[in-house]
Amino acid sequence: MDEQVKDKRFISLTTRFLVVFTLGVVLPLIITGVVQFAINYSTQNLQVENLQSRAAESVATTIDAYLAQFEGEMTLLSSARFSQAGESPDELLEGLLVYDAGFELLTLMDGTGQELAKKSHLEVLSSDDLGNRADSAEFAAASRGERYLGPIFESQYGEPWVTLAIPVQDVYGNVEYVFSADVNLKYMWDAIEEVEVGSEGYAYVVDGEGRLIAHRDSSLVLQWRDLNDVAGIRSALQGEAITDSYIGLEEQRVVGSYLPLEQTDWFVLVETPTSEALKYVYWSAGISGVAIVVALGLASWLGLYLVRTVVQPLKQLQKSVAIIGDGDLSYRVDIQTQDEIGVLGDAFNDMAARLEEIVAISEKRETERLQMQEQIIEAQTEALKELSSPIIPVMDRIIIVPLVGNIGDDRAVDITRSLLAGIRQHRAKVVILDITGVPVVDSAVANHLYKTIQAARLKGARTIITGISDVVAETIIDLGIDWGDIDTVRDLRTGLVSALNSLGIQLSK
Amino acid sequence: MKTIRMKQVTSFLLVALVMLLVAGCSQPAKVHKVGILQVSPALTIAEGPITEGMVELGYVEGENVEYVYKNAMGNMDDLNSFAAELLDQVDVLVTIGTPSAAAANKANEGKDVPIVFYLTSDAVKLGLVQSYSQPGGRATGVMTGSEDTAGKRLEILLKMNPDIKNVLAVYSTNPIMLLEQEKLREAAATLGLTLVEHQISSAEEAIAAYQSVQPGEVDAIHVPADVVVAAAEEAIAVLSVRDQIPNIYVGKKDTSVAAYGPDFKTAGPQVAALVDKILNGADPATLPVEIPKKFNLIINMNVVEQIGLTLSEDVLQIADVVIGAE
Repeated sequence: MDEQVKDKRFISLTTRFLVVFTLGVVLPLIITGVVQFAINYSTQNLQVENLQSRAAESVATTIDAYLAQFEGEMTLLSSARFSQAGESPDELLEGLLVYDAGFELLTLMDGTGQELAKKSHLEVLSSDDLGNRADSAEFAAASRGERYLGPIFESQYGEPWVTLAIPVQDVYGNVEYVFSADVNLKYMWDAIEEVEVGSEGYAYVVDGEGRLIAHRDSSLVLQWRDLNDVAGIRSALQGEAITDSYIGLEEQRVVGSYLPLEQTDWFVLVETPTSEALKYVYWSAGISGVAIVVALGLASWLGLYLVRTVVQPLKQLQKSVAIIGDGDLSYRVDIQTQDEIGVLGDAFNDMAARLEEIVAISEKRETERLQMQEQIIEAQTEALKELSSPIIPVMDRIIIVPLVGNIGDDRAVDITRSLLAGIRQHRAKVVILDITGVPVVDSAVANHLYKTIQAARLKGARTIITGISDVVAETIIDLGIDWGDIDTVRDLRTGLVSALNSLGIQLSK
Repeated sequence: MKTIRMKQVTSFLLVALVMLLVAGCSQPAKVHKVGILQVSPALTIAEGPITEGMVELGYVEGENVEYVYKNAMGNMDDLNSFAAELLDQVDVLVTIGTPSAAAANKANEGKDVPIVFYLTSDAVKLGLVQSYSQPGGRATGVMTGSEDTAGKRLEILLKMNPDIKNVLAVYSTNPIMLLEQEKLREAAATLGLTLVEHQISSAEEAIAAYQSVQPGEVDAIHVPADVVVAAAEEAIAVLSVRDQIPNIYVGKKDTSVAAYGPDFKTAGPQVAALVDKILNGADPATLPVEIPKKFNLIINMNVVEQIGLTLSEDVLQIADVVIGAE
């Protein structure tokens, strides 16, 4: 773990598996989801467009038929009857009023604009109510031989009415009469309500000033409110295409389109709530979303499953290596899976067992070797001891002990022992202790030598020290050691002479 | 580890399922209370088409709508107390007839319950609304203004028999009736007719007024849509038969020769549509007043035969409904 922390580039297999699985599953889903969304969006848009244009055409046809019906009825009546004797114009107009409830007021004018007859649906009119309408727009248009459709106006009780006028011509084409009608547009509403625009869409008709003429909700029409704040209507009035969704007439967000009517300055607007227009797009986006979430869950689950089957045993192996590396060769991993990981675990355990075996053998060998080495060292030490203080019997009752090298405490004891043994063995009277080969004499060594000499004396032997070097002499003086009662001579030769002398042997020249 | 994971997955799925179920279950529908206030039994015929219209809009009685009917049976004091009573317990109050609308509107001060009036005179003149397109208060509705069709009824009488000169016009002291009477006078002048007028203030006076008519004094009878005059229906029938003269009502009666007024079948659903809009949260202040889509002329040939009248062909041509025609 410490290594993992130290190495910043370490990315655990768990993370890798999760990332790979997640990306591998989710990325393709997101890509197909986005593509699907784009396709659905354009398809749905096209469908809504088609639906709306069909609805708009249908409404346009309905309105044309509605107006054409009034015009047709007026034309039929005028061409057949006005010029003939028999029924009075009053009766003819009354008959038409009853025939079609859409006619609210009918007026027949002569070629000068003088009203000849006038009948209303509601009011009782008499000849006193007749006037001259030569200055009116409907007369002006109809007297030129044109059909006239006036602006929408609000009736006494707030309903949208429109004035329709047609010329009645004689056989020569001269305008003999002008036949004018106030038509109630409310009967158009029912016809519009029947036009279906999907399940929630609706169509309505707006005049050239942006006033609502027909809609399935009568209340909206009768409110006479200014609709220029509805973006779709504004676009229609300005002749611009509707590009974006907007808050529609029924105050929800819609996609809309419009169709100008041919014979009037009116427009048909068709609006479909965006919730319906994009229903399938939202639906498929929702499905994609759910699929992505499910796939994400599945990928995570698979990743974790893989982690469990691969990474966990690997971690166990990693831990085992560390434990065995620390010296616990008896440690074994516990992986029971019947797969490559399981085989690896078994192989690891075999390897650990072999390693333990090899290490055991080598440890045993090492112990044996160490024991042997110890024995050798012991023997050699013994031999060395003997060599470190040799007893040389140069003559009868004279032995020489030459000392070489440093004299430690152990060696000092050995020297004493072997010197006393030499005295006993050789019945020596004089011992010559040669210290030429001793480089350093400290107070301890000096004491030892002194004690050895005293011991030899007790055994009846005189000790002569030879070979005191300058350095040793200086040390003895510096240390303040008193060797006054010890025989010291310059060298081994002098010592030997002195020894012989003490035995009463004179050397002749 | 495995079991814990399975538990998590299972609980997640369960939670998702529960959420779907909760979303799928619609909340129990609210039962709307709609009051229907009538001044007299004269117009109970208008109630059916309203509730039928409500059915068309998805309102099932006892399921999501409950109707509370109150009829003052011509008693004005009862009408006022019924109006106050209904306003205290309903979501929307439908008033039928001008007196009901006026009483409810008065009782609604400080209560602010939406009112949908029906079969009333001019709502602006009555003070029920500020304007037709923007009522501005708590009331809106379908107004039929019988005063507007008064002249038309005279015209129809004339069409039945062009020789008619004197028309009996009994009227009550109700301010709206005075308005209708004024319209009637104007139309009579235009049509060259003479009105034989009697002002009454009670049912007894009304009956007496019809009984006091001398034979040959009038050629036709115009009956206004007035709760007091309506009480004299039998006297009117007797007079029609005695003098063999036509009568005309606003709404069809068993004894009416002709009736010219709104078509209940199409106007009822108009009322229902307004009630529906209000129940769905619309503010009556912004719901424009409507007028009936259709007015009907109903001729009852059975009564015509009973009286022994001869009607001109013209009137039968313009009639929307001819009852008892062969």
